[in-house]
Amino acid sequence: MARIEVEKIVKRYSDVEGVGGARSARPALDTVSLDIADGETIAIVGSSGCGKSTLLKIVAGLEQPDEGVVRFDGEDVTAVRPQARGVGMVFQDYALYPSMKGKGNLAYYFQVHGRTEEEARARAQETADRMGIGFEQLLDQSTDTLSGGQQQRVAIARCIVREPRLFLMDEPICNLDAKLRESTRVEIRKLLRKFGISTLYVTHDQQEAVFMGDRIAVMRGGRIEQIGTFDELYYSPANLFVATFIGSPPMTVLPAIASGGLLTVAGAEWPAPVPVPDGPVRIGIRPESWFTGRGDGALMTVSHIERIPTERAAFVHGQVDGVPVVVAAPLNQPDTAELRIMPDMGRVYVFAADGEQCLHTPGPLDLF
Amino acid sequence: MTAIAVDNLVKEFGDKRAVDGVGFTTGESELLVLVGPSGCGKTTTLRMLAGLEPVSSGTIRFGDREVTDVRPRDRSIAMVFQDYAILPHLTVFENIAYGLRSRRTPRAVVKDKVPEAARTFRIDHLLDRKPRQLSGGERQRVALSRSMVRDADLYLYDEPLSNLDAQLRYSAREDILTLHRRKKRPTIYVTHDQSEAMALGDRIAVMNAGRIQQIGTGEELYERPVNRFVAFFIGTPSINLFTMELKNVDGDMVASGCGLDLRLPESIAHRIRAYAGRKIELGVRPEHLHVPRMAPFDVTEDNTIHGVVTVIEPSATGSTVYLSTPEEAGAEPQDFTATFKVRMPASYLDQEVPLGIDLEKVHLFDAETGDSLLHGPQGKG
Amino acid sequence: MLFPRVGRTHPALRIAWWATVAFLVLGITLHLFPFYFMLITSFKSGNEVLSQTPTWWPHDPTVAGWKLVFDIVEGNSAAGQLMSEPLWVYMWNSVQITFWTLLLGIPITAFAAYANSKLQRGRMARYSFLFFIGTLMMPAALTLIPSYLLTRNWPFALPQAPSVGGTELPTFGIWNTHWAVVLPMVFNAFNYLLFKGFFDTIPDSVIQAARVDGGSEFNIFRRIVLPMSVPVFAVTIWTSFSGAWDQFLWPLVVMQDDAKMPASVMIYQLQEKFIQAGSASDAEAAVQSQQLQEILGAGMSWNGLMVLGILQSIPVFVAFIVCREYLLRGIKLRGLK
Repeated sequence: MARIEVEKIVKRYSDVEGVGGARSARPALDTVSLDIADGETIAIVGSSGCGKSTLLKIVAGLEQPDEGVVRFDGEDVTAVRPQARGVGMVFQDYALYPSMKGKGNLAYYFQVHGRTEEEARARAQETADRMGIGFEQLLDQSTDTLSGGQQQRVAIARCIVREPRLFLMDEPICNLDAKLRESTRVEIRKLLRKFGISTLYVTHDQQEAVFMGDRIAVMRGGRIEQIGTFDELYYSPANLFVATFIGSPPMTVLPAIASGGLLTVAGAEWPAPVPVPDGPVRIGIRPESWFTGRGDGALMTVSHIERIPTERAAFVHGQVDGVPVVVAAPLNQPDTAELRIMPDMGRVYVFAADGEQCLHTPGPLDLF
Repeated sequence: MTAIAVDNLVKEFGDKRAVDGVGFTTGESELLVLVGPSGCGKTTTLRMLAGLEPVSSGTIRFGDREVTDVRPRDRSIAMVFQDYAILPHLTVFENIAYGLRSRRTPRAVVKDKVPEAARTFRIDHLLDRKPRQLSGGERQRVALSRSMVRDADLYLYDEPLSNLDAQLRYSAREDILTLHRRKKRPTIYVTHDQSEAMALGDRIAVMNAGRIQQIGTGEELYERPVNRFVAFFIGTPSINLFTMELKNVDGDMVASGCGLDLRLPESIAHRIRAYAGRKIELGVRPEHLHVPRMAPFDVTEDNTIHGVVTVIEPSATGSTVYLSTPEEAGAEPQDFTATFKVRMPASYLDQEVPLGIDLEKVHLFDAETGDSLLHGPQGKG
Repeated sequence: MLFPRVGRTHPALRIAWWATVAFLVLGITLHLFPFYFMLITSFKSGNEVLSQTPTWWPHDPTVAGWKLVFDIVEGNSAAGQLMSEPLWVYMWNSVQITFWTLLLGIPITAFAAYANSKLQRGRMARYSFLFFIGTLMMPAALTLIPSYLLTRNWPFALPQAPSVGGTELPTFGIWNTHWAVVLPMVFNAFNYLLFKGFFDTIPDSVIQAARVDGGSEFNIFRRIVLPMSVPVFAVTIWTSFSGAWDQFLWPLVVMQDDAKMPASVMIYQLQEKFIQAGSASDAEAAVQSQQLQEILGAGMSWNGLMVLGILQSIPVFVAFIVCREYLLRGIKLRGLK
């Protein structure tokens, strides 16, 4: 257990391999700072190549930062080898040692640290009890006979067994079935709460991030765009990128012209939620913030209606003035070719016409 | 008219039956989704349809033509693979054109069709690139374009979205539907993600252990699952299952177990009287658990469950709450899930709360066979 | 996969299938024939061996050739005098050379490949890889003289520093010892390629996981990587073994004493005597007919040579059988040569 501080980390790869093999001048991590409170879980979310895994490896010591400092409990560990940092890491491909059984995987830490076999066995037993029913059988199997979900459990147990100061999880469940993912993430979340170990959890799935993280860090292009709770990111995004990244289906962004307190969107005129300087702007509306069937709405051509009985809802997909729009509707929304839609102006986000600057966010939902 | 008819398809690998008597038919322009956990035989079924895998027994018919033993290139199918199967040494243009060229399509037609398909999927500016210069989403659209230029009798998709970032999946789904609507040909789509199945499928076939468990529209599967597996697989968060015993108490049917005694309403009770004394599993959808004050029915002792809140997951429209039955309830603590249309404050973490179960909407399954006691395979009841 | 798995009843496919089978059978036969001929020749009598139309099986089976060879191995009787030492001396030389080549060569090559695959990164990794692989492009004939000089003046190429006239360099005379044969074989670029190809398939995450667990780099190699790499070790051990056992040219260059020669060289030289007899100039022919006289006088003929050939190949066979299980897996893994 520890308080982790990551301060102004910069990481450049001299030789960028990857898309097109092109050398990019942009650093993989660009002045990233992050604090993890003791026992807190921070979920880092971003699309592939945003630097989230690199950040994790720097905290683990598997990569050296070019600039910046990593501190565990105030102690500078930037130059400390991964072997001596005492972190536990779970990898996307589980990274179990293939030549060992489940047991051997758990015991490896104790063997290389010169602990006794009894201690290793006792701790493995203890961990198996914590991991729940049916876990002990997995330990006696060779790892290549285990299913993905089982391998994942062994990988997590390998981490827990030595009581790390810090948990690092690199997309640990993204190789699992959708259904298995659902139950595994609950299991991981409960384990994290039970042990109270500080955790960095990397994922590309914003829903998973919302579920896992006490706070969520949204990354893009080697920078952290915003850190905060779900409510902060959802209702008060720092910029257009965060606004569209968090929430599914994503927010609709429509171009609008502001003049005299009115916003003109695709022929419809709506009162601006806040005073906006005259000129072109963009407005963002989340699927659930649309009213349908109002006379003064914008005309939406419907392409299809996605009905999701499991969520008692339907999503109407279509276009307003050539811009794709998604509107949440009740499950029994009738099939029509066109729809008049109007946003709940109190829930509208306003962005600058160019750039990603946020001019107005609705802030936390106030139901009453 | 029936476009694709699959009858009693079996595939054995050694002495293991990967596919065990799968049969279905599709309509002329239907999108049928095969969904199931990994290892359920859905991909093997798809590969047999494509002719990539010989069948052990059973028949496959495309319209009037039996194709069970016809080699893949003579079947007229277009397939999108999970890893997109893009040829790395060819440009995007050549990749899209490959299916046409190998069928000796006139050059003029290729020149015409390829850019058009590329435009549909917004990759017309990338035609001269090599695949390694493309992002995952772009590669996926190359694979779709390749299907688009073909006029196949059957379109197949093998988990095409599973390698994409979450945010890209929404637009990719739209692209797949665009293709399907243009072609209006039978399409079989394989996925392990039930929400993807719900979003795409005209009908959905839920597979498990090599067999189709149930075929129907998303709503049918959700409202009237024929067995425990379908009920559990469809819907997220999953249905809560409680192992209980049915008792006949003074003419009322009572399900008891897990520290609960639930008096089932007459609409359900009259159909299951014969099961008194048997072990059953009671399924409750997370959305049918209600905060007593907000429940659309009277919450009494007969329909209340207590739980300790372990995790609260916020979402835009409410919250999903993970709970555990309290320890002292006389049984092993059991986890269950509830979804609310309101946001639950974090202060409820680790608190014990009572929730009302909407007993009109529960599902009952035989504890041994897993078959539904309410909905038969033919959709009775 | 060469053939689609569905629709094999299609006529074109059927014809193609049988054509492929016929072609493979022909290939296998052509490959096995020399072995067959070697075996039957060893059981022929001296006359039959030399008869103009070769016979396909021994008309008059005899073990004379085999008996003779045991004399050569022991080094006694007239036949034993064909070589200056008993054959077992040469065999023992071969064993020693092969042993040290494997013992030093496999770990060094494996470490080099592992370091390049998992420890080096970026441009340095690529350059060092190219450097080592570059040695594959050098024809053996080109390196023969430099290597020869190196073994004479180990570890330098010349006995004196050329610019500082007359300064003697401290050189070790490994020339004319087994080390002169072993040391140049220690790093094997082809094995390096095999190792590197295999190590590249091991996910980095496994090694990173072990690092986070606290394993030292060597411990990770020994405990995690080595057990995964059994197939590739089987492949490299076998190719190294047969290479070291059967080598000819290099020992001939650096060894002076017959007593230190490996068996492969000596058997080859004995064979040469047969082949060259009568095919040279008058003066040489006299000497050679003299040699041939000696051989034939000892009752030796091709049948005996075939026995020697068989003896020479037996260890390679045994090594193959030992490694076979892993070897086949290894071939499936990477595709050999």
